Amino acid sequence: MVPTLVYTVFRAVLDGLLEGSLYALMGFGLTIVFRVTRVANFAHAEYVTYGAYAAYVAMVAWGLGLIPSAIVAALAVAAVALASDELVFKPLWRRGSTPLHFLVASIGVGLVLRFSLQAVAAAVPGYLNIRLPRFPPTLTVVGGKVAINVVHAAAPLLALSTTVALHILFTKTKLGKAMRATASNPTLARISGINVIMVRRVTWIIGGLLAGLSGFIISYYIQANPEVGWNFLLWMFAAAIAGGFTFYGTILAGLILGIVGQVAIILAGYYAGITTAYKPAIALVIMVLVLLFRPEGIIRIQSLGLRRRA
Amino acid sequence: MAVLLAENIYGGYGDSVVIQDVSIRLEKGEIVALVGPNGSGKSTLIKTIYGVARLFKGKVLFEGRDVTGLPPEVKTRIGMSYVPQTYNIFPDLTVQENLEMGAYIIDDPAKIADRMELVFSIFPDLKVFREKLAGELSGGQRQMLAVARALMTEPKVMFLDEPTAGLAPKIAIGLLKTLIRIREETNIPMLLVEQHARRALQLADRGYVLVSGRIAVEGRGDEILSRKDLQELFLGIQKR
Repeated sequence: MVPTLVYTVFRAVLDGLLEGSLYALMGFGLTIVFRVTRVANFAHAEYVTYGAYAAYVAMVAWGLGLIPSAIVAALAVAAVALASDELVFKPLWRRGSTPLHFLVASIGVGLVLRFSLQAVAAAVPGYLNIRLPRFPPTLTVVGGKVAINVVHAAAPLLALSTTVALHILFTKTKLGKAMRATASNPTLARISGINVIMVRRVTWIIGGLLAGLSGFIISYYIQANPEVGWNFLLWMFAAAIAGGFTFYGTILAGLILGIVGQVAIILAGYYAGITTAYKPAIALVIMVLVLLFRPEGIIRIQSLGLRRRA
Repeated sequence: MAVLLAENIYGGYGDSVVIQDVSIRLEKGEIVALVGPNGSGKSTLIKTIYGVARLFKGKVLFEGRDVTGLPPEVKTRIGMSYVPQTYNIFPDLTVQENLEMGAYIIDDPAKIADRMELVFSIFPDLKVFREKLAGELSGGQRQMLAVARALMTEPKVMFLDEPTAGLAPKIAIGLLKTLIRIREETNIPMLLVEQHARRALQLADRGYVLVSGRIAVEGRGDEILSRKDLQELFLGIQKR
């Protein structure tokens, strides 16, 4: 029996790494937008859904290949994210709204996005449950039991390369430093002559690109419906909160949450017969514990000045 | 011609008017002190002139150009500079990155390097800690960094809002002496807000005493200091 459990846990770690990479990519979008604009964006979940659908439309309706579909998903969602700022959050900000106003408005933006997509998806046959018609190939099968899919490798690689790219952006480029400066002290950023509107736009675009790519991976490997992003919302917030809304902390917390969540629910099922339906409880418990005992986040990466101001 | 002229300024926050009909000017190479009791509106006046607080009425001229109502980032781009009283550094950035952000509006890397050398020659401590996070600096070093950041753009006028706030007297006096040195080396006119009125008026060329949002007295620093009635009224608070 023991070898079976080992394989089961190995499978859970693999799946957890994949999910964790998604949490990291999504959570990072939440974090960067929150840090620069103070918007705790509940609509971020819907961006992920839009990414899944954009990839599907690109591949099925337009006949594009895999990579072009991923690019379409990323760009389409970047446009949606930018539009939500230009139409909703930026006007509110100009009127002096508080983070609470932003949060409530973001729930509204999310509802509008989700249900307008639902209306369209319900009207088009075959669009309520989607999955890209090209299933990702299996890389190898471990011990004849655990199949490692190409996405198991691709998602962590994407998270890793995103982290490296963002690290270069934040530490080597003037734009990236200006983004950190704006996150650190928005008023002083303006006083220093930084174009905070431009910084704001770039921030939303980056958040949107990452959400779009996450959506693409979901429709490629798992499956998507108009609520798929909404189902991830809890996890992306858990990643951002556990990471203390720091840039690297969120990415690391996302990966850890993915693995811990998956392994914990598998073991709970194995030993106590608890079904995977209870998995969201893990994210909730982690969030509650973090907020109770370490509201500044469990993972605080202070190097490179990317920490959160005390 | 005055470098900076603010005429009949009414300013404040939201709907509340804090500054009422205040006019000040700043001539070339001058250090002008803005003093007054707590809550008299010193910070608000600077913020209003710079476009951070709300300007209700009045006119701001910089080098003869009407800059009334221009947002702070534009004021910085045309040669003005401002050191806020609080939140005057980027705590999550290193010292060097703080200075780079101070020079955000400069595109020429050689010029940025020159400015950084100048700033490091004035504040050698900052050079030592250039890789350190600004949020981890001591109070005195933070204020040095705040002033240094504002110097990076090669400004033509500087507003300093209580740069010595919260510093030990010895460090505060050191910083004020550095301001005089900066003026001597760069000839930048400065408008200096100070809690410690005596200290400020001693080093300033001229001073304004602000009380309840209005200018109560203006004149040469030593003149204001020598007026017995003012010492009782406005400056007595600062006596130790």
